[in-house]
Amino acid sequence: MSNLIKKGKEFFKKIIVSIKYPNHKQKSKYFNLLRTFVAIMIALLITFIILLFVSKEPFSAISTLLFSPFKSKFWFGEVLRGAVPLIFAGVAASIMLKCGQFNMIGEGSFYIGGLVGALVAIYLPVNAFLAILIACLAAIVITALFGFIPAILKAKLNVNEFVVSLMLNFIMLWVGLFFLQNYFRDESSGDIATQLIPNENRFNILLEGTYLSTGIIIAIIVVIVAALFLYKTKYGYTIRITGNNKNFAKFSGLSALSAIIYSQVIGSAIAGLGGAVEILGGIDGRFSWKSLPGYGFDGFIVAILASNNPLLAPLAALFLAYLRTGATLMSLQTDVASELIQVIQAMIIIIVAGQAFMARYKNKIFKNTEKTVLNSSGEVQ
Amino acid sequence: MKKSMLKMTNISKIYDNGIVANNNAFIEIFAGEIHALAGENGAGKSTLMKILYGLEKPTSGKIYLNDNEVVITSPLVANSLGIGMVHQHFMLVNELTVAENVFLGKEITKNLMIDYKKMTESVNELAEKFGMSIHPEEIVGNLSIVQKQKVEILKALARKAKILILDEPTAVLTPQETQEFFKQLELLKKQGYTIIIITHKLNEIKQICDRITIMRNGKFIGMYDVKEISEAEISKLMVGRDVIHEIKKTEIEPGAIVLAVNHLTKIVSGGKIVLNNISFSCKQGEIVCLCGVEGNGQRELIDIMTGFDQDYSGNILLNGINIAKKSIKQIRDMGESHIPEDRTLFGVDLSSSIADNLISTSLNDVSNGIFINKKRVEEVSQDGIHSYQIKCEDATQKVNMLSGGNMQKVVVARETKKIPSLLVANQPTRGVDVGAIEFIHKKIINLCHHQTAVLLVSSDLTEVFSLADRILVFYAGNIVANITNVKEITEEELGLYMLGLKRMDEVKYE
Repeated sequence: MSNLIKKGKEFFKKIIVSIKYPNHKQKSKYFNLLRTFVAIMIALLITFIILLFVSKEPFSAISTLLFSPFKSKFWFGEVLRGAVPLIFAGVAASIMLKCGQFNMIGEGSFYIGGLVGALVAIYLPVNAFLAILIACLAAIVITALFGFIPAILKAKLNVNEFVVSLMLNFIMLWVGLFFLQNYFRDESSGDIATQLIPNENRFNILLEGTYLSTGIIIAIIVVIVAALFLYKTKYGYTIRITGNNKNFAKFSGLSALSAIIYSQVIGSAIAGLGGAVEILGGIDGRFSWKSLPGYGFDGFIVAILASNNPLLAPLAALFLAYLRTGATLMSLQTDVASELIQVIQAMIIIIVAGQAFMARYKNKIFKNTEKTVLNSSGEVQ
Repeated sequence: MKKSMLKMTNISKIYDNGIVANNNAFIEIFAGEIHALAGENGAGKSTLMKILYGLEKPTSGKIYLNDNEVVITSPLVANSLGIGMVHQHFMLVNELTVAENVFLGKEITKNLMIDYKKMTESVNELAEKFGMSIHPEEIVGNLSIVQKQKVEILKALARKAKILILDEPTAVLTPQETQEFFKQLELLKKQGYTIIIITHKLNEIKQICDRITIMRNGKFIGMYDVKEISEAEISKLMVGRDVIHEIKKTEIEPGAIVLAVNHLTKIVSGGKIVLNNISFSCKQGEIVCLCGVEGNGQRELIDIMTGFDQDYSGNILLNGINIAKKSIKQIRDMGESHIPEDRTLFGVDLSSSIADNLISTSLNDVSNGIFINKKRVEEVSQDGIHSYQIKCEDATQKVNMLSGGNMQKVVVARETKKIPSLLVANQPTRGVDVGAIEFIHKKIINLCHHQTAVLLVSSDLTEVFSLADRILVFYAGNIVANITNVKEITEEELGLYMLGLKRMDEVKYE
């Protein structure tokens, strides 16, 4: 017992030392945290100033925005539920961005993944676990194939992946919608939608009294696997090096071209899986998307907030989902429109993405270490 | 007698990434002198001069011009104060004429139109005044390097510069060209110009400079009359310890042929022959040096040898195996290592850690096919940091926090940790401090004792003379000389070959 206390003490001591005397790595970690925090604070401050103009009850509006998601179990569940697709989108974007690929295919892949997942779960003559498994795998395979298009064009013909994926999104949307409308439409729904997915072929509710499904577990698994892949395997290594310096990767004999290909294929497949999980764990019980869901763009927001690190994607996704849930509640309970949240989002992204933001402060932190380094070397001499 | 013209005191510069380039640096320049600013690479010479020219903002410190404090915020301000700078890498527009370049941004106009006639005349006048022969209407892209340098100097003079800063002006010149260049500087000095030369070539300091300021680790070390200080003393002050200047390679009996290049020809689009039927070989334990002014085919040869370029005729055998159609990885796996010319573009990934940079060519050795073994990476990086004396906090530090010399040590560590059968070393010590040069030279010689064949491309003649067993001189895509008696040849004679003024009648390649 006393041993355990001792160990605990040592652990905390270590943390305190790392905060008091951080090394270069910890320093830049703390700095990035601080920077993101300050960016969020500034964005919220500006939001409040805007609220002062547009709202008759600015104080209750901002407190609803910030605190109401925590006030009930149901709404907190909504935060978690909203984070699930954002996690998939964020991890997908992170992997592609790590390789230096600005690929927007997340949009289309979410759509196709959702449709394929729903169709498999409805029509395949298997049940429960097996149905969900095959639905997810089918979504992964089909969207991986789509992901191959911009990837191979980039690698072989040097066609800009941004342009290709942006155009491909429309192809994916309209091809999907064509099949949905002409072959799989449930006339009785009175909507352009598939039939209802059998209940046992859908993700269960994880938390009683909320809509949060067990799909979040898949999201967590994807985060862990993606992080292992990026930071512990030689393929992930190749992706990171290629993204940083393609010339160096080529010079070292790393296959930069294949990294460019598989990073985009994997990214597309993760987004596709996200689509399937979203539909199979959704409230509607069927696929009824008639336009691109917007998760491709959201993925970039998450990736920027998480500085392209899959392990940080859940945090960034939760934060974004929290803001959006808060905004919904704010529009329900006060006189402010929920669109305001788009303004906050945009401001945070602009400030976080601005590399020079707080650069002067960063200099100051690093300057101090350099001084100590200089002094210590002076003593040695 | 001589009065102080320019003084920079307590100059400190700390870059955004935390690198301290200048730490209370000091320099004092007298009117009408040639002043050498010497120090190892990374000593902060260039930074100090960039601050003087307004390219960098000092973190603290003051600049005095003729005893008045001045604040130089941009090159335009520097120009207006009579300070001009010639950069190591020329800042010229290759597509424009000499006159257009000289007056770029300061064009002489007449009724809103550029007055080309007046500009041409002015350039002629200036060139005549300073004894330079240059044609104002020539396109700069067609000029030789010496002439481009003249254009740069004219550019500064046309902006009424009284103080000229020259950043390593002789780095790109042959010995003959250097001498010609020095005459030019003498002439400028006679006409009352003040010149600051950034350099680390000791013989040049002795030859042309009046006084010298030595910097080390961003700090001011001392200011001396060049007449009163010896080369050995200068180098001691620069590195802070005695340096064995030339590491001589001991004789090693060459073994079997490792590299055989046969009838290699490379024609670039446009029909220019950049390599013309080149043949040579390199044996175990032998250092063959490819010498020549830049742009005479050496770079193309290296690109072909290392697998970057596969479009050529003729063949290259590495240990008897043809490397045609082989990828960079396959060639590396055959035992070829490569220290690239451009360190930050090809040699390292600046934003990755030292450890990640050390394993890039040996991923299969540190992984089980899929997962990278953390322990193996740790071993490799600890070994690299210790046996190559890389100065860093730890292996997770990013490479962009290292100095040039330590960055190059990372490259050399990676390329030589597994003894290669052929090492292609392209300018292995360019822009590296004396301590690191010595270390890298020792490593290369050590490899020769382990039967490595070394192909060295270098424009540093000191390096060539101390390392090479054999020198192949490239001129216009041909090997014009195969010098086997390296000890007996002089720099001047080598220069004649490099400039194409002399060639061996029958070049034997063996």
